[in-house]
Amino acid sequence: MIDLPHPPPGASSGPYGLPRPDLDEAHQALAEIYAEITDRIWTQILHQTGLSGRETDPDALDRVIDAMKSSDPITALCGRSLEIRVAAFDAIATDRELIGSPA
Amino acid sequence: MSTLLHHRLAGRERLEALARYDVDDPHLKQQLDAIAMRTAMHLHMPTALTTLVLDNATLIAGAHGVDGWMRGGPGGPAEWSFCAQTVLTGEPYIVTDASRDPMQCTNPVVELDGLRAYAGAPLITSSGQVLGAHCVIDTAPHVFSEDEIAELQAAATDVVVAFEQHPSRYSTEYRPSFFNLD
Repeated sequence: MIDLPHPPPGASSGPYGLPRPDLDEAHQALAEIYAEITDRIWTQILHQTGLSGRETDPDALDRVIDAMKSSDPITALCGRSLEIRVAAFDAIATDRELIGSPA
Repeated sequence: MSTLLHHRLAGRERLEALARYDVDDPHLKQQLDAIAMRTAMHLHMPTALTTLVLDNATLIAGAHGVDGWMRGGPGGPAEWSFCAQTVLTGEPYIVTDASRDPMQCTNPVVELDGLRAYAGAPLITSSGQVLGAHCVIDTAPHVFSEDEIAELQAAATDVVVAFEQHPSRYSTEYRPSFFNLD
């Protein structure tokens, strides 16, 4: 049996241990797949989106996700993963706002 | 997300296998929805799904009775995904009552969506790659019989056939353009 991590509520920065994805997470996701050629891919995505890679706003991540989804098929799947994680974070954060939970 | 989990799901060969199918083809979606409906009916479960487990999230590719689950989203993070367990083991993954399962009881899908019973069969391609899972879920605990698991596995085989009937334009001789930048 493989033990998947399910951090308890409030255990890390986001609800149920899920932080909102950011550019660092996007970069790390690509690094898991592409290893030594990651920086070349990341540079191309930043060039395409006109970003420096240091942005922290949600709009910058949206642009990177769009660029990834229109890239080669594996990078596109990676972009889709990030999009799903953003949607999950936003949905849970909204739930928590509605019920007034501090976590 | 967990680096270890991401590392295990982000294998190049598995992702290349996933990229060989046109998951956005509406005809494929129709077929997967129909298989899910048949599975749900045969197993007398309210909800059945086909999921693709990507590098760090699960994508719902076909479903029956899924309204209200996952907040209507396209899937969820891999670390919350029961189907990720199915993919990592390559074996059916069965949870009779998730609220009493030490590994799943704090999962938001259990705490927020109320999932209690889960049975998933892996989607294994002819090349041995595990794409995702075909699964049934319920808000009530359920003890799955051997016949039910066999039925689920047979349906998972049908799901793989459906995917193989819908190759993407990248299905042969795929090579990312990034490899040709020199």
